[in-house]
Amino acid sequence: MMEVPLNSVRRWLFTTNHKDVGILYFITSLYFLVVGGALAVLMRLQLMAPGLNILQSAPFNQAVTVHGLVMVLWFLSPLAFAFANYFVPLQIGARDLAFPRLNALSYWFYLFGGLLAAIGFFTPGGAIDTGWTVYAPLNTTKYAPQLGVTLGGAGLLMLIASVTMSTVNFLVTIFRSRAPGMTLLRMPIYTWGILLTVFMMLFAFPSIAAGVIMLAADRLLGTLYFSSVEGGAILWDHLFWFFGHPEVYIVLVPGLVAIAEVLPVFARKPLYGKKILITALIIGSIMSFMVWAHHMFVTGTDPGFRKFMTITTETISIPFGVATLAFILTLVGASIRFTTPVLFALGGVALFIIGGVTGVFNSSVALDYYLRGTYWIVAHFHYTLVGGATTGLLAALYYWWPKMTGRMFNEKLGKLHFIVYMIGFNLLYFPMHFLIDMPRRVFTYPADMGWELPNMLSTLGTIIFAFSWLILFVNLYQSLRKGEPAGNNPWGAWSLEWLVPSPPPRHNYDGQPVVKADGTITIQPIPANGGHHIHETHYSRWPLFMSLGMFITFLGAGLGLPVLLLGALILISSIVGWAKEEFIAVEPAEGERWPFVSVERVRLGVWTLLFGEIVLFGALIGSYIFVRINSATWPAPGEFLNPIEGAINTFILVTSSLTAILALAGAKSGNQTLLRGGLIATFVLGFIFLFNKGREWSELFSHGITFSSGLPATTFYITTGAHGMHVAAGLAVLIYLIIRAFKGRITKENHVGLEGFDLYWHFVDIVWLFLFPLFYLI
Amino acid sequence: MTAALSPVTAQWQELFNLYLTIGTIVGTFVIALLIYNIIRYRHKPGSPEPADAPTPGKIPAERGTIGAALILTLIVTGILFTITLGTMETVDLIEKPPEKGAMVIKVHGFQWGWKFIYPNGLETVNEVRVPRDEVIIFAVTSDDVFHKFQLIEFKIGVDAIPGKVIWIWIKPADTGEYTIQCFELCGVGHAFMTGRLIVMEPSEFEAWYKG
Repeated sequence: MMEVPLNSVRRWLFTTNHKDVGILYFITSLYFLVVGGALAVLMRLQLMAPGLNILQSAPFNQAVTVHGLVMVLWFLSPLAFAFANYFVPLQIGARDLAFPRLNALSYWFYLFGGLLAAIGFFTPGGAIDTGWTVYAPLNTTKYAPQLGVTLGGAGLLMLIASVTMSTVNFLVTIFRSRAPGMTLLRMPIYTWGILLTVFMMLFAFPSIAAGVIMLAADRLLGTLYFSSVEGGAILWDHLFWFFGHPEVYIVLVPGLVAIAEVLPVFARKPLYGKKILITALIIGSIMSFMVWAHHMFVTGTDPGFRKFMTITTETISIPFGVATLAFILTLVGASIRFTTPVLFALGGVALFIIGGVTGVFNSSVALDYYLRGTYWIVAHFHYTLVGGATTGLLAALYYWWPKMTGRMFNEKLGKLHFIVYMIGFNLLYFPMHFLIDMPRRVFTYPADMGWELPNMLSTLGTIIFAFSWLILFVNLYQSLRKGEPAGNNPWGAWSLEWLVPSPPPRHNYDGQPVVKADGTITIQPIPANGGHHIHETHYSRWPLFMSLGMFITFLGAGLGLPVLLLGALILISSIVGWAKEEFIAVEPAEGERWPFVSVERVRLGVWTLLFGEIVLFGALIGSYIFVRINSATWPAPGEFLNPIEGAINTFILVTSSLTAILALAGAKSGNQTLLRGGLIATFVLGFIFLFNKGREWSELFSHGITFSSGLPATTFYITTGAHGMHVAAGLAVLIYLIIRAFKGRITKENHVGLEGFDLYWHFVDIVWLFLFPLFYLI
Repeated sequence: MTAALSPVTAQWQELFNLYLTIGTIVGTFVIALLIYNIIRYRHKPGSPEPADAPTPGKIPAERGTIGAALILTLIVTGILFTITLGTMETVDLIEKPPEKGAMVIKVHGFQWGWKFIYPNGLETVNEVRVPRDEVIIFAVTSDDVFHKFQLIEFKIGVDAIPGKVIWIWIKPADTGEYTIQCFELCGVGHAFMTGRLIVMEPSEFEAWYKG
């Protein structure tokens, strides 16, 4: 087990402790805020007056794109997850997240993904410049040949992987690691918000993953998803916004629940209607998947579909309206103490109301015919995502800072920050409502349109707003150097994290937190006669090395084969290192586990992952159906694929599911021969399946059917290729399992890894049962 | 007054004003309520803590009833219902040209400009002339990437998408020059992807169109 000194750089590189990872997220997200903010300042300076030359057209497009991507994906969500990492385990009485190494891996993937996207600025042709929505076909090599776009896509893929791992981790943690008595409804509202956020992430991100995979195939292999008119703009629109609109709520919900967490503490009254608020947020989260096409109101989609989306979109404002009113009602009968955190919480509510009102305008198809693409929209989403979400997270920042550092900040500077922030924000964004006739993302505008004054005011506001962040950073720096000691609970808050020292010890609790029936929280000593307490591992070098390997591999996709091979080498050796490492992650012996009382940690993790995979393959298959319906002609069954060969291969893969079941039965009954034989048979069958696929592909290639030989070939290669990659990944895990089986490590008592593999393998086989008829038979 | 430029423009402006009125009233009321509560329930020196104030190490008591939630929901729903009806009416107007046999002008967005093709085959770039008081249908598409064809003064626009044709219509009431601009990021020339819509007296238009 690895141990490193607390005062070392290695601690921060190799940590897997949720609080350390939380601090890494915190610092990195603020770094990306400065990056995105600097780009915004440059853009606003350019737009201060008509015809300026501070940022020319090409750099402006790069700035506007990277600003959007970085602020939404690399600043807002990660800041929320900095607090989630730090406080969700504390708030539910857990010692760490369910999978600590996976958590560290999430962080490093996030960081390196951001670097990949930003590194584009230093390549010929510059960074990604397509707008954060990366609309097709502007995103194809024909219109955007530069490496920066490919690197941006690679960065997105790493971020998506990071988010997926976090999702699995937080869901399993919240469902499996709650302290006894900490029922779901008793969880603090911030943890509730994170639970809903990761649920949304689980279903939203695979859609963009599928989109980016197809885009990467288009750019690197020459497939035709987005350069063809049958797929093209509308296909990307669906894939992007099926992710993109839930994503809006993914970044918004943590900010709202931060407000809900902070308000009651300083109002000295319980949150009004906690159950109502939770219900509203659940409804909002589910509905967030039913509104995506309001971003496509003027793309000529079916009128009935559009009216449906108008109604769902206007309906989704109901739960968020109810949430806002719950915040206001919390204040009734209160005795509000005006400290910095609550000022930001209240300011966030006010700004969110304005953003909510303008949002209702955009839900109307009729108004959207004109509003889409105007500065009105820019004003709207900055009022919600900066005014609501960021301001809410700032409340959380000031609220939890003393807990994370053990030191208080300067209250006067905090209040000054709030005042300058509110003035700057409103001066920056309110004038944009009057630029309803000005297009978004133009780098300059003519002088005779009457747009000068709002633009000038907005730029002035930008400078004030940027300055307000400087006040924050000065305050935090001073607090670290000479802030007053915070003590355990400076605000008189109720939740678990305030019962332990600031900052909390590495293992969080000297004992087991328990919530009694009457709601009293105690930390009970762990009985001495219960054997020695197992100490968890808190360090591993492999998450960092694995992410570095992935980063270099992606760079290699642009820089050439040697770099790619180096990356792959680092990646593979760190996977092996990870697999061989003895890493102890302790799951509490008892706790609240409803509704997953009897599901083991790893199995729940695999289940969660598979839900995401269903959406991923759903998006790939959906895209296939989409382009097929839009195509005038399509080859008849058997015309370019051989159904007989496909059927034989299907049979082979299905049989391998059977042998996997036999292997598990062997493990469960302690029959080592059956276990080993079953595993080897599964491997051989899986290998034959892949081998046959390879033969089929090379035969097609020899007949001149390549990635770019039309949409039937494009969709076949990419969809079955993605499936083949899943089979290959399964084979890699099988090698690991076979080695363990021959070392006698898979036993009657301990075969949870094999169980997880079996679930995954069955899933991969089931996917093939969909692909086979879709591609070979109809 | 731009609202009178075309029936769709008038209807759009009316609907926007409806949203603006209701939105301003609701927004002002809610923010006023927030500020009122903040002032009314501020901490005053010497005032006692509320009886149910959060206590360290204790799950807070529940507050609020289902009835309250229902009332809140009903209020928000009622407001939204009113404006949704308005939307449906306007959409129908935008999407159904009132007369058959109107002039259809094809619009092709390209990097970076607008090409117009008249029924008689006449082609113009970045400038389109139409007669006053007649229904004009723009059939909008794109030759390369995603654009948005927007008539600023007319308060109407639609996406220009390769392989797809989407229609909008106007019936201009006044002669004059109006602005066409691209409203979807389409590459380095996006900011300059503008054009002119020139509305002429029908007789003048006839002369120009035939000549």
